[in-house]
Amino acid sequence: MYMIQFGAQSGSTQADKIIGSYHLLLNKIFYQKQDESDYFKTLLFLSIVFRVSGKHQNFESEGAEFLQKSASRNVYTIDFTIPQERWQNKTDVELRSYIAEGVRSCFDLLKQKAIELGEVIDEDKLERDFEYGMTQFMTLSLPELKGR
Amino acid sequence: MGNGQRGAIGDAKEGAYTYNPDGSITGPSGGRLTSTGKRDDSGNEIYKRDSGGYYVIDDNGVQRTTNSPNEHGNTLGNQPTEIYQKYDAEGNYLKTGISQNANTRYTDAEIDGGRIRVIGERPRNKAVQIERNITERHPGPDNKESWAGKRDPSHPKYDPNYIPPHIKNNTDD
Repeated sequence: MYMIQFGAQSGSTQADKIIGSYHLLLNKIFYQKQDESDYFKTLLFLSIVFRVSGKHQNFESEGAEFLQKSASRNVYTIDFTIPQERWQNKTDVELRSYIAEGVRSCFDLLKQKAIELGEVIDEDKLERDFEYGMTQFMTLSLPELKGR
Repeated sequence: MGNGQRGAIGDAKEGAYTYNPDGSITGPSGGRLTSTGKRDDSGNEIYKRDSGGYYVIDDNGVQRTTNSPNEHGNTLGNQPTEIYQKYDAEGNYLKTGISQNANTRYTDAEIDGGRIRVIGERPRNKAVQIERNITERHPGPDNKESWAGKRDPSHPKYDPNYIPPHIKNNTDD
């Protein structure tokens, strides 16, 4: 599906290694690029950016924040900020649940904004496909990160 | 003052540099230098020349051009600078870079579905060296610098005779 693009900014190599696989999996599920959106009238897609605190950069907050229109694209974007203690020494089950909860919060805010703007083509389909994607996220195996 | 000797800097000929009462120095060719009160990474005092530009005077008394010691975005000062690596949405490595805007949030469009990871933070002059070293050895396709890949045998721009500047500069003296 072509619904949500996920980006990630990590404050350390370790943070990137831990969160990177979940980021890749989410893009595989929710960001299969195509010419036109099945969900929005003019918006290209929704955007969620993970801000993962680590040794070199601390974003000093947690959860969904900074919902805004992207400056250079017809996209609404929101940050999902993850403190270091939320990813460090956590199991896959714990991390998936935590990330899924954060993605849901972000999606709800983005969806609400899109509805307010009259952008959503079919609200039921948007909701249904999102739920299907989240089910996949909770069950598919994690892809391996390339390179170092 | 070089070696603490009045009238000589490093191994320059005695009297080649004249110290003036106002604290400035007149060089061998009559040019006037004023100390900035700052030193480069090797501990050499940095001078400003009246005609423009910054110099250090090496142990042989030779003036060598250097960067301004004054800290702003484009000089190699001590400002904290991030070293980051960027990947695309499929996880492919794109580039290594540096950013002086430490702790800023890259925009969603800059990240564009990929990942940015901060791999370290150093004073700018050190960060530039580290970035260059990585870019020479492990460049990504978005590293367009002239030195990218020079030390990577699998890269089209690999040059077995390439001497990195930090080694070249040391052998010049």
